[in-house]
Amino acid sequence: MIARILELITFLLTNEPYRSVIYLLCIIGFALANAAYLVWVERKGAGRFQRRPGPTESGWAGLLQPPADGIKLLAKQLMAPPGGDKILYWAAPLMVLAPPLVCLLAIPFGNNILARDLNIGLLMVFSFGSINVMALMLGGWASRNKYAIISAARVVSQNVAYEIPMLLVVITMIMVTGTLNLQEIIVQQGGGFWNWNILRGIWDFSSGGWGHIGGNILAPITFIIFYICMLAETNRAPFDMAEAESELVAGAFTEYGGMGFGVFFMAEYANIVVGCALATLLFLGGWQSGLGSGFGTLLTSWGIIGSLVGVGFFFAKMYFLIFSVVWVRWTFPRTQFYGLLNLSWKILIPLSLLTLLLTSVTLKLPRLF
Amino acid sequence: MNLVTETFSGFLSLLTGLQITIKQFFSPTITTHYPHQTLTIAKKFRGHIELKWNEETGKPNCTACNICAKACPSDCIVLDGIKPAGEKGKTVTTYHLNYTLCSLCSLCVEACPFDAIQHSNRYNLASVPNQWADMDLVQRYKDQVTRVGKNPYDPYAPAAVSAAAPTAAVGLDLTSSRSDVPPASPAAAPTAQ
Repeated sequence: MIARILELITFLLTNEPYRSVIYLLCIIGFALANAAYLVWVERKGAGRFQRRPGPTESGWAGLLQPPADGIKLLAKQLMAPPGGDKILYWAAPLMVLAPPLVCLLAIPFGNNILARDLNIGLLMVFSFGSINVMALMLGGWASRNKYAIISAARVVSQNVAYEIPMLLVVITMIMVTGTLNLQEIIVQQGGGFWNWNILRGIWDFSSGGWGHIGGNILAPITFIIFYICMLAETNRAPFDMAEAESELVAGAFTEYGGMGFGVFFMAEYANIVVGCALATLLFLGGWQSGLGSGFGTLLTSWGIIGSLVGVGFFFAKMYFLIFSVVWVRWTFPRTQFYGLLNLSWKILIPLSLLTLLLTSVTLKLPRLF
Repeated sequence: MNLVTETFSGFLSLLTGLQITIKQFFSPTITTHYPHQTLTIAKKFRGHIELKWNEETGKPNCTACNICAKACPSDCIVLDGIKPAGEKGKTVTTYHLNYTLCSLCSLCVEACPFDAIQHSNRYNLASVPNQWADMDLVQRYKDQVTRVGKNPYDPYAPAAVSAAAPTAAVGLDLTSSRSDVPPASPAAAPTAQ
């Protein structure tokens, strides 16, 4: 019976018309469920970090809070500010929520579990990931509100500043991996956790024996830069200049009410999911268990079940990173704007250029060790 | 070089911050889950005033001398009394407090020469408007007679008390079921006055 079900699942996931529909529905469901329930995680986390329980009243441990909030937001009237640009105003929430969904199409959740195996997957994820900025800018601009416009200007300068180190870091990783295909990047990191890019850069054991020096000896720093840039790109605290509720009311979302605001809110979490998934697969081995190559081959021999176990490993790493995002938010106060730009231009960009330079030199040097 | 050391030490301080918050994360919560749990209210808590319970006579100490009403800067006390036949002093019959005007300044309590009024420690006072505009403290005293349970002598017609108490609980004191009247389980009444 179970074998029949597994056979059916495998059939559905490998034959074309079913496969696309299933992946589409699953990815939309995954993104929206995450967007809704990461709000709960955030509120619970905020509570625990401040020694209080967080939401407890609606449902067990407050688990019905996101639907309750969603229903409340849906019940509200949608209003656009008079004199603003109505088309752009309503286009902005759509533009902010759609790109993370598209990005998730290219992200491999497990061995054989990905919607589209694109050769330029990484490029696609980054090109769609950048639309977020434009959506926030348009939303702020179309609101015809001074706070929203200040926020829009901030968002643009912040994201320009942080896109540079992030892409430099990604270029470094591409130079080491030699591919833009996300699935291949993960497959390269198979075996033990020392083969994950964050450690393999320092010392590469993958060729057997004592190994040799890896491509990017500053890989942990590269990871930290990527992480910081990911926080800034998703407008998370301590870089939440776009919202900055103590300075700009609600920043670009000031004029949005009801589900218009709700969509921005959900998109923030969907973007975090994409960012953390990228960090996981670029640096932490994606769905690789990190328990050695023997376990890896065992998992591949289990077929669909093995793939699902891999998805579990992927989610474990990804959700740990997401938790760390919440952790960072409730630890550090918001930076000032010039501090934010100084961090990028004076520290992160020189550091990422240094890693890029070092990596290119290491890769071209004859292998001494 | 300064930038390098500053960046490095700054990064370490960030890690220290993260370490502190994660410790808090795994520590037990320190909040009281209010409607389900309540804290014990201190004896000194200044709630609205009430007629002090007299253990010996069961009667209020109040002689309706009106000194408290005169002392009140907000004019929120209105009281009256009668002189029962065969007794030396007057006894209070109506004592109305407009709690919406009261600023809890305690001047009435200080002014009272007979030690007849005190601050209650009720704090569950959220209600519809005008609930507290006219508080009948004599009625409250009568409720207290039934609440305390021992009733050696009741100047206000003992037969009427048991009939009056339920209506008072509904009409005047919405919160009585929560903190004032001792509920079925004694453990759940930390705020009983």
